[in-house]
Amino acid sequence: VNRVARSPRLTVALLIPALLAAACSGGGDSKRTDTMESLAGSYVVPMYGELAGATASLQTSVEALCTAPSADALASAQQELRDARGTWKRTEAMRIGPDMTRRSAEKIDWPIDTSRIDELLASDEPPELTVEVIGTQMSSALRGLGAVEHVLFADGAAEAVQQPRTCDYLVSTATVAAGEAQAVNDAWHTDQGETPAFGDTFTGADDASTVDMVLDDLVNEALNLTERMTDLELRVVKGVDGPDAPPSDPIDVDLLASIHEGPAGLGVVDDLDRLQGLRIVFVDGLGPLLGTDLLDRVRGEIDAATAAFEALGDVPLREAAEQQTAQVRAAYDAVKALQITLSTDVVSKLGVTVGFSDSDGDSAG
Amino acid sequence: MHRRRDPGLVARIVDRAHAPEPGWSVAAFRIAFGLLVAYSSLRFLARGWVQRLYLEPAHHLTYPGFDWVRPLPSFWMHSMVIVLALLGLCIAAGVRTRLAAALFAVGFAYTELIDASLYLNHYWFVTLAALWLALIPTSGCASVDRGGGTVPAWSIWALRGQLAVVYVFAGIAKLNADWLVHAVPMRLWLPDRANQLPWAGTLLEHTWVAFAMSWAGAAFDLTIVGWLLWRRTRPFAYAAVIAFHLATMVLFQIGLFGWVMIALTPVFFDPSWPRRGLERLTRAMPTIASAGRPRGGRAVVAALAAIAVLQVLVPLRHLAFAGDVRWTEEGYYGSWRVVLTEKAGWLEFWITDPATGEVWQVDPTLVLTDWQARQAAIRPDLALTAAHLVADHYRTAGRAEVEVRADSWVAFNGRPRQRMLDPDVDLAAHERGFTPFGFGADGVVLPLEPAVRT
Repeated sequence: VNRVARSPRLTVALLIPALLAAACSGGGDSKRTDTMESLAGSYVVPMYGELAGATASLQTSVEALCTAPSADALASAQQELRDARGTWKRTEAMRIGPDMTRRSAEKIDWPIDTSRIDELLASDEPPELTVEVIGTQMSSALRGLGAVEHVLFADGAAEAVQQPRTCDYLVSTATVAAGEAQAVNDAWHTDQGETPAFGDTFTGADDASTVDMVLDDLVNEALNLTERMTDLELRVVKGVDGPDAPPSDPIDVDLLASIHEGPAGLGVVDDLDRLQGLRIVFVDGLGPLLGTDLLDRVRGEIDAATAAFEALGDVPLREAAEQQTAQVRAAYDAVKALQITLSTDVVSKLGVTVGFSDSDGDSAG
Repeated sequence: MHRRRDPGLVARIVDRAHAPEPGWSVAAFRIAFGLLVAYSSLRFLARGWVQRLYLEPAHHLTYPGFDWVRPLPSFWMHSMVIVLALLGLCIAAGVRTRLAAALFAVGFAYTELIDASLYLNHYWFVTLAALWLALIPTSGCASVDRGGGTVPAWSIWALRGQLAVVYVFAGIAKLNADWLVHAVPMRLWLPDRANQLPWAGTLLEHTWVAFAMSWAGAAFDLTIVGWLLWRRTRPFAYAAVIAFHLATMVLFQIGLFGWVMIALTPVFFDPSWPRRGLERLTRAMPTIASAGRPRGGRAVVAALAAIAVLQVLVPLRHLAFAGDVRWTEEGYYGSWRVVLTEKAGWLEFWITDPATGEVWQVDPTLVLTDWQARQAAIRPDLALTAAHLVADHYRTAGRAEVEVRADSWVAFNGRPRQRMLDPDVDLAAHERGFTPFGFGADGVVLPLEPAVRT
């Protein structure tokens, strides 16, 4: 009887230290938290700082252009526009947090309506195109980096920027974009009322579980991006008889409008910047979570897609789609392969969808 | 000298099956079951799942042979779930228990048959448990219904057997190389849980923990019934049941499954255990009516034997089909393959109109909601049903017949992604089969590479 009575106590006595030891060894940050801290600290947060800086530089350069119009000043402003746009496109792969909750794209970069912009500049209503007017009263289709590009790269831009109304519009639009980029950057670093700094949410500083939500959002945003790149924008080169079939010959030129590209012809550069953003997230940032084999595969697919876009040369993407259809199709296929890998292997590896079924799960299958 | 004649094995079994036993443990099972399903139904309502899962989808991924099962209009669908909750309370209180349980089983099965993408093993268990409660005689213990205070022994063995089937086949399903040799999917899942369990932290990221949990899980499932049946180990086994299910509930999103098993497993204890517990609490002896010998005979035992055989054959029917059931999912339903695989998929359909020669691509969300499409991307039978829905969609739009082919990729248990469905097969022309008898997966689903046979 004594032996029977003692054995549970003995078991408990042995079990408690073992459990304590296990719990202690389980302390500290998880690999996922460490990885996300590294991704945030080394890449994502600096990227939003870079965006704030690039848009501020654009604002400064267009102010300088309007103060003293010249060919050099115009070229400088055009280069700043390219830089700001490039940084913005690189953030597309990590577009979660403040810029989504603030709907920042509506002020920084939104599909524009060129004819309405031209009408706005040709009219005298509203009489003043101030930062307030552009930022709060204008449609998103009339502002953002696309609008700045439309003015800076238009035929006769050198003359146009000598018009006070055009200059006011240009400066106000750049200022609104820069202000919004700065606000996003601030929201990453400092508390916004009761909302904690998103940098803390990203790294789980207050609640470790937010890391998982952020990772889910990050992967889903990347999936959305690859889908936009392939099925939306490059659908003009999609196979017409099946996933592996070639595009129509000649291509359906009406579908070229799906490629959002302004007069600067930055479509190819945009996609290269987006791929750079994906590389930052999945290779440089999340690489340690993927394991060697999968990381190599993802890196290889991003390399292949990058090489395919680089092979197109310094031409607008729409032009490339018409004249180098096979090469653009190769780029499409490379991004598609990456899209499928992200949707399957990466999602599985990161446990992004291990939510079982949506109601009450008992099987991930 | 007169020798007493041996009654024979069958007669002894019949006698043992109908021997009266105290009805307390069955009553505890009934009360726990009724309260849990009532709570589950109310939870379903409160979370808006009736609307989201039954009413919002334009189409449902029906079970082959059950296409006629459709959701009711909103008011009636909500009413149905409320009625299920009320029936659960009736079962718990012992009000017209057998009728309530029968109606609950029919109503619950109806809701589950609406959409196969919502299939869960524990819903199947709930349906079967409700059917048992409809068959088991009312004991009169802790119930409004009157009874003699006893139940035939077969009632207790039926409930124990039903629970045993879940554990044993869940254990058998784990006897594969992925689970035992590679510790997947545990090795994939546990590190993802590290942030959800701050006290465990990096412990879950160690490979040995994944192996330990995989082997412990398999050992638990395969042996727990034995430990529960052995009187000396029973209390410890039940403690293990509680610990096991609490752990799985903390680690994984498995809804009420863990609570169901924790609440119902005490049926393995002595049939009088609730009464003894009550005595200890109140120091009073609840009285029960005198035990009358329940009616019954060989027919009952024969029926129970047939059910037992069926309960073994259904989970094993996948062996009659080619391929690995975890990959093809042919023979998956009702097989107690719980928390066993990790799949992530990607699915597009390519449509060909032979009349015009046109070919185009569509996303499954043309006919499905996002959550249905996610399931169709990883489950071949659902992808096949989705393909038929897509064909119906274009038929309604005025195209006589279209061909539907799939571009389908799945990452399974940590393997590199591979095609799941044969891209050359016209899914619209492939029969969906009938649920228990498979859907001809070998003509649609490509082999799993590398093949791992369970």
